Amino acid sequence: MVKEGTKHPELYLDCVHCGLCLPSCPTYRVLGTEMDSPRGRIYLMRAYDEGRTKITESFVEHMFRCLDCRACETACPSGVHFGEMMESMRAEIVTERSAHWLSRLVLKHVFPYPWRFDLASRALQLYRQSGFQGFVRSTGLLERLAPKVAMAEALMPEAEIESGVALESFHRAEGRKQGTVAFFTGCVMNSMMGSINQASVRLLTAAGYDVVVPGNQICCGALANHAGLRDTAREMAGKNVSAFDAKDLDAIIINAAGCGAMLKEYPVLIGGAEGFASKVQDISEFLASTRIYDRLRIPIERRVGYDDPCHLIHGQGVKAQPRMLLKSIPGIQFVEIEGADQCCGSAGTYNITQNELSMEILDRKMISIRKANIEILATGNPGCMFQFRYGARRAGISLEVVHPVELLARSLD
Amino acid sequence: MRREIIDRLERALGAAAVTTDDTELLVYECDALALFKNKPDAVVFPANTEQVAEVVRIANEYRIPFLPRGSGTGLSGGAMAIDGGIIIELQGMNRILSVDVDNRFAVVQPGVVNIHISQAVAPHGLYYAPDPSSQSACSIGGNVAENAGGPHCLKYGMTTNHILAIEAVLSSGEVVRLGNPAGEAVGMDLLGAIVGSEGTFAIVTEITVRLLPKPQAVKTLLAAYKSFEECSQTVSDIVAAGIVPAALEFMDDNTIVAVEASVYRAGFPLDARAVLLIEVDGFSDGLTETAAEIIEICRRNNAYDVRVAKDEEERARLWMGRKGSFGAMGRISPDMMVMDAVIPRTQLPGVLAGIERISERYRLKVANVFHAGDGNLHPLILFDSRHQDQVDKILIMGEEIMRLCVGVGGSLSGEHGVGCEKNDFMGMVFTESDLESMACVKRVFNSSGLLNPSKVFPTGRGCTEIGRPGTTSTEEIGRKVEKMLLGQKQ
Repeated sequence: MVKEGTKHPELYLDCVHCGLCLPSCPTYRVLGTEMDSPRGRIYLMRAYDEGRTKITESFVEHMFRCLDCRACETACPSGVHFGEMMESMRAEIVTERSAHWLSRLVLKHVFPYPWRFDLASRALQLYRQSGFQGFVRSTGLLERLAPKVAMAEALMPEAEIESGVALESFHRAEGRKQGTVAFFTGCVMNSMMGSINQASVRLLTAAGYDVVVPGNQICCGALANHAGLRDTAREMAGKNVSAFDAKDLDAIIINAAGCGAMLKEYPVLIGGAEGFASKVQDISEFLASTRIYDRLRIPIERRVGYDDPCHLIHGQGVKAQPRMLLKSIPGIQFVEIEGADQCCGSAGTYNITQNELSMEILDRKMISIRKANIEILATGNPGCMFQFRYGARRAGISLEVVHPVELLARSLD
Repeated sequence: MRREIIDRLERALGAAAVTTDDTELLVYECDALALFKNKPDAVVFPANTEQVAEVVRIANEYRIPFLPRGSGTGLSGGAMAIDGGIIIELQGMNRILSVDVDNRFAVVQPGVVNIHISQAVAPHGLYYAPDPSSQSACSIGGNVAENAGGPHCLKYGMTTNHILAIEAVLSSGEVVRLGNPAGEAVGMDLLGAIVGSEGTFAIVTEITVRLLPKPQAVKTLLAAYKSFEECSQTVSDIVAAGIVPAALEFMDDNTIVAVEASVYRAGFPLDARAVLLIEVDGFSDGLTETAAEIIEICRRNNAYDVRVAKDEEERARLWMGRKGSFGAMGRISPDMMVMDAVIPRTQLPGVLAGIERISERYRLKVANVFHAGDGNLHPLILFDSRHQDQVDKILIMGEEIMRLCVGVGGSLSGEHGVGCEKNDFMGMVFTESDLESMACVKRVFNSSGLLNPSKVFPTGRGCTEIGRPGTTSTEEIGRKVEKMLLGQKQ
């Protein structure tokens, strides 16, 4: 078990202050200030640990301005575990000052409870379908009363919310069985983007795997952990580890990058999670090594780009597999997007809590999207998908934003 | 800092471009030489030359020290506010203003990252040659200040050979333009005086850099050895054979272990005592023959493995490994002190053995990774700054290593600068009248002395005093360390 706060100096001592991380950091690229760079943040954490600074107003500001995208980890020659340090620092901050009310409400009291999350999604759906949304937007009242809530409202998925698609608990492999995997449904994916989960299961069975979907799994806890609500995250981790019988499985499959990185890092949060974590694989990571390629037969003749979710490329080191899979779709014109490995500014709840900066990062991202001149953008994380849909609307670009598995499933014979 | 001064700065730059917040100032108390720190009184973020000049004028009016800062990747404390005052952070001025493809130059702002220039002009088949190991992060303004080097400076020359013109703010606030994009300017080489003046002559606000066409062909070789001597002899033999490699880099076993444990692992052999990374470039014709000649020289010196990078990807990986090596030291040690010295190439074996003896005596590991072709050593002393005895030791070790290098006809710095790290060692290579002549030149550019004070010239206090009250001289630390070593023996 890791102690709270940064009282485990081995982490920050890995940093030799060389500065090679600076250009990889989205906030440093926009702001150009040392305290909004990975090196500066580590310096502050160390200074706090050594009693040279207190948790001041600006200290908190710079810690929460970090996107937690971990691009610095990919750039760091010294192998600093930045994400782990940052999350632990935020936990320390939150014990001293309580988290943002919106974070507390949503992350502590809604996400950990599947029924409450489901209820909330249904309420959102009702809000959209009843025409009440149109009314609220036309008054502009929300912007004036609660600008952050208004932002969250604007980021809401434009497409129909596909709520409550309950996956059956068992799906049989097609053809000769290769093994058995368990499927982690995720909260957002399951309540709001159900068809992505269906596509995922279809691909897994097509690749020859039995798929089990344990019923008592809950949200992975990543958002709570990023916000510094570490106890909430721990509780959720414990529930999930006991929901899966890891030893009888070939893999535990997850299709949301942010959740995948969290699941793989459960051992940092709680003891006895190693067996579980070692089995977790992102769906693209897993599919890439299966026989699925033989089944991709229906051509998709479109210009398609791929944007790396930070928690897939930097958090899990998965870069080649999703590209490999997409390129194997017949007829596809795969376009490499400039700066695909850089954050889109979504970062969990960041686009709501740090809206201005998030939008600046997003605008830069949309410039390279426009340059790539693509019809479809694939990216494997729900937060990034919402952000890109919003970004396309904001930039006036016609762009279909999908999860890679949706394209792969469309190509299945 | 007085409210009145802050108000003046805020009026000139806007409130968002000035900080005096204690927490924020903390991260500006050092550059990449983290051992020495002192907090500035304010940090300002100007957006253009006029704002820089205005800050300088305000600082002059109130007699406050000021200094420029870029990415803070410098290794001699050049961007450290040793006497407090105002840090002028130039990161916000990071645009490439224009590229002249036909005449092969680019006009850039000082905050532009070194490698971004090469990336921007790559579609035209051009690049900016000087490539410090930190080129993915360091700013071109900092490169100009320190006259930065890099592996490929062996063939292509240092930063100073690639700067055609600058716009700069002098210590009085006056803005001057020096040099000429067309090439050599007539009259005295004032531009040459500013490049490498370590931010003590002027604040450079615009830079015209020379661009070179990419070489037609490149070959990169890796040769592995079981001894330092054979490795060093190869370096001398290659140069003696009349070959001018584009780069000729040396990495020892400690360095290899660190790099191979990092994200920049490149497949350097873990059983080698040392490796040479050798690159030749130029016209395709004859390059294969040159490479073959080098391989022959390596083999003659008992290299047990020599391989040629088979494609651009492998070449890039080898260079990423080499350039990430300073940072990778964090894999094997909590802190490191990067030394920088130059010695005649033929002295390599003796000096490396001498460094090893010093390392054993002080019981602190040293990793060697350096530009062997031009005898530019970088002993990296590995230590733990949480132990004051180790901090004391490295300061003395550093001085001993410097004396060793100077003693064989070497010099204090190859490319990192003197800053406030080695200013008290200047006496090892310069007489008092040498230093006085240099001070005369400095006074011409920096008459008030407010621009980046207490750097380069000996102050009799170095950086060592900073943050360590009660210690007044290196002699005193020396005595402490001596006592410690004696204690260990008993």
